[in-house]
Amino acid sequence: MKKSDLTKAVEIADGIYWVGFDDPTAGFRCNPYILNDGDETVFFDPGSVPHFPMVLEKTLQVTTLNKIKHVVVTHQDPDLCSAIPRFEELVTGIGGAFDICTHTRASVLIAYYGTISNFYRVDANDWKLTLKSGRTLRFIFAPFLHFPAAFMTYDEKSKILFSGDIFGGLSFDWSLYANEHYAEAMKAWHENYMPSNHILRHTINKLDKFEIDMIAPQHGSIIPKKDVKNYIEILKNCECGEFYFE
Amino acid sequence: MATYKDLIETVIKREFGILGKERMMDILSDMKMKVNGEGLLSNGAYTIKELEALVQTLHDKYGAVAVMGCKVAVGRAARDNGLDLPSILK
Repeated sequence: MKKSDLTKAVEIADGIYWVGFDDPTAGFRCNPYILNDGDETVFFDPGSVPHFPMVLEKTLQVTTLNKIKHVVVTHQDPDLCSAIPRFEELVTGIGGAFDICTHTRASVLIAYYGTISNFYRVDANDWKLTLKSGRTLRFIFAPFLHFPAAFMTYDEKSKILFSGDIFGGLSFDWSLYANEHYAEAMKAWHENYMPSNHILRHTINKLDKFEIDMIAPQHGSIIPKKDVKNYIEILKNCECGEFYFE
Repeated sequence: MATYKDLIETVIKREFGILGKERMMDILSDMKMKVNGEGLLSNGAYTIKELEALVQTLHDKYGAVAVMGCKVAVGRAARDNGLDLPSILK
């Protein structure tokens, strides 16, 4: 895998970019992504307040603020969406607007960040979003992984699965693409943040019907096509937290 | 039946994925723990004290995330094998 310049936005597929912050001191990495489709930009899990300046800088390398039309938020945690009001301030300041695509259960919590955008509730919209070009993003319900109404997003065109917290990892030894030891990093993540194998397997089994060319998690490293099946199998057998020994 | 040697090897293998092999090997070298490239310890007497010292070092050098990363796997193995855990892993 070619080494990427992580000081800049990194194109991971045609028109799709990693715009995260490479913090070498952190074991808990966050990965916002941008998808450009014509004059529409979709932002996936745009990140936290502390990372906002770095994410904004990279975002502006690959799109313009007025093109951001949809912000997909897999759940309400601050590491992935507390910066939304900062983006809203900039986007509305130039006359733009975006909707926040999330589950109804998450929307009632995200509002407490002080957001002003309209919500596009994935559960009320047939679990899909169709862009102006006709490109379809499919939302895959992932209950209790770890939020009760978490979900993943599958882009039918690129065949990328934006997996949110699922397939995430804990890694100081971070690389944009999963290295040979990523399975251990991924197990560590799921043991800490996912409740049980039973719950995880319920959702992972849904992926069998999708042709996946890449998994882009919100934490940890990107899983390329050649490794997708292997990591899916690893998660099917991951024990997760399961009551933490009680 | 797992032993403390097995628990320490679980920590090592897990941290290869979290801290990276190079960092982990440096820590083990500093602690005079001899391992092969797969993270398996050479024969010796390993007790809860060595386990505690290793995890405490991870915490001191890299903080809570490094400990979180191995805590569940080690805790589960300890429970299943009736082994007591140092307080840092409870």
